[in-house]
Amino acid sequence: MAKKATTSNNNANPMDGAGLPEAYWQSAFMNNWSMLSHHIIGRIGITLLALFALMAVGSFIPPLIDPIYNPMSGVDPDIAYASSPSWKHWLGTDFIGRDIFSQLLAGARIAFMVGISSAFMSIFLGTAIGIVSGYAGRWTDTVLMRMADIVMVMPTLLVLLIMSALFGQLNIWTIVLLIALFRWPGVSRVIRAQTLTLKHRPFIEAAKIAGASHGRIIVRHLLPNVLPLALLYMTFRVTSAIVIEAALAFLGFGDPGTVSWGMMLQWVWKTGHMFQALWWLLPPGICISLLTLAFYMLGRAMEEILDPRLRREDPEE
Amino acid sequence: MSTTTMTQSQTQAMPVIRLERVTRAYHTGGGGFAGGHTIVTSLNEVDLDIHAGEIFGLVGESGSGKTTAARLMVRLEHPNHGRVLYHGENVAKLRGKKLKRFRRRVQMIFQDPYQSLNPYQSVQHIVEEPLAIHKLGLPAQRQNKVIETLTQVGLTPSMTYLHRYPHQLSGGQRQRVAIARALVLSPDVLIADEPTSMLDASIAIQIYGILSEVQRRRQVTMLFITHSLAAAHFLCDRIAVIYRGHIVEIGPAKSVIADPRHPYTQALLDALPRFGHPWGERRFDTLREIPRSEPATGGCPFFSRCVPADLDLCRQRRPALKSRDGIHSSACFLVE
Repeated sequence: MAKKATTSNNNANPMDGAGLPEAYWQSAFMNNWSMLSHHIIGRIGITLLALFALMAVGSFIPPLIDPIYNPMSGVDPDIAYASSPSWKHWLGTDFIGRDIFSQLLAGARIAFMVGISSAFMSIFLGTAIGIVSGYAGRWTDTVLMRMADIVMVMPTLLVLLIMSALFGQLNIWTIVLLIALFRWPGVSRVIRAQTLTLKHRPFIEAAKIAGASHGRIIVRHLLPNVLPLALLYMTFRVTSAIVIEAALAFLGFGDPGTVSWGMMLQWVWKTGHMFQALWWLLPPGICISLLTLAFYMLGRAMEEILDPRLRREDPEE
Repeated sequence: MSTTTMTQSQTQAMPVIRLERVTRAYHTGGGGFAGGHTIVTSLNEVDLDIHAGEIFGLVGESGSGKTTAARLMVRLEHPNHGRVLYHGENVAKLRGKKLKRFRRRVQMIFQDPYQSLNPYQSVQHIVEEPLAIHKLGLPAQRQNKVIETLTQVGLTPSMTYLHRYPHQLSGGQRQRVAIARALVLSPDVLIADEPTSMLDASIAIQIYGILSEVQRRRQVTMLFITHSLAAAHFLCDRIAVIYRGHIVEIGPAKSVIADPRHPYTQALLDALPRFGHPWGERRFDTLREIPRSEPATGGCPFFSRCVPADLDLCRQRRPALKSRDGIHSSACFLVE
């Protein structure tokens, strides 16, 4: 008997590791990953995302090859006009001879940066406010949710436009922060609803009976249970953040120090090349659509995995 | 066993848990213009003493207020009227250190083992958490305590269970983990709210075995809530039968089963399936198939379903708990 116990101890040890929940996450992750990779929409989304991620990573390469490929400051000395695609400039150049392809790559980096960081911030805010609001209830709930309503009905783009009109050109990180500050209410509503269903589950009450503090219940018991939902909403928030940033940049209120896809569109428009230089107009437009589509597809696939009611009978279909 | 605890309880002045005219009502529905809200009284002026070291059974059908009583005793809810006393102290008034001590001394096992364990915590985390909350022992000692407790509830070899998650366990194993979580703090009082209603009969027997073993070894005071008189008879020293928020009969387990006095207790006994007794079984036939109309005010709570009820007396007045011998009481006019 004792021998048996020790052998099983040895068996258990490799799993043991540093943080125990990892075993759970691991098995859940493997499970969901296999489901995701069988999900056709999810597969397209992931493939597209991988391509864009490759572009973002690759954006560091062109400036290293030759300074003329620097997306912001690199100017081809031989070309001082918008030239069509050539071997030297795969997607052509803009009106002062900057390489469109390297701008496109840099734009992918900015899009990821803006999308993910602002989505992360809004998810953080939304989850924190949602859990507190749902768990505390009563007047805390009322106050926080009315606040959420007020923020939710504000037109994000309009407010951002007014702010940049007031304070001049906004830094890209300010834009990220502002988008996050305007996009949390949707998340917090969902998280609050989820918290309300969890709040009266016996395992929360068991923790209460064992003497757990409110902080402990929130961090140890509620948070892990709402986190998958929060991550799902993150993918949708990425989409909206990218679109808002692009719109802002296109209207001329972007960060002048960065090359984003919206910025490129604005340059096309401002310099009057709208329908004269399709090699310049189309790539950023297509990229914005495809990247937001990819995140949206990933979100939809994740949603179906997390919510079995949305699952179809045959996931291959 | 039951006789010794009885004499003990009579010599001890103060019960471990006492309910004093406890009433708990819930507001349901409400809002809208179609109909106002209704009030559902799930406990109605209930008096109850649970003495040190006994297993007390609370028996009743669904919606009779059993679970409400448990939730009041562990201070998940507060009564609308009356008091819940733990060693003479009003539970609702506990704050700070006293509350923390109460939380250490009184533990509960929930009905549904599929809902009472956090799916994101391993067995070790679940059982260890109460120790961590009360800062008992160093982490290494805590693990030993966890293993010891798991062994006690029959999860052996315990090491193999430490790193499992609830979804990897069967219902019976989950309920054992839940019992281990309740026991790890070595509580005085253990409240088991229908711990076997979600489990197979064979597993239920094992759970009963664990509970009575634990009670015998640690001298815990236990409140065992069930809808089955048979289970209560098997496990308990004393039994109270509760019907729609009223205690209708209370007494030593043997006496309540052998000599049921209230028509509702008799109906519950009738409802037990019996095997191997094709003849000679006693039937009371006290339950009406078609309920009578409810008494408008007052009246016995069981009136509408009671066969032998006195149509005048029982409709107008509510019987109080009365006893002939001092230990076995029932709330029925017809007993006298």
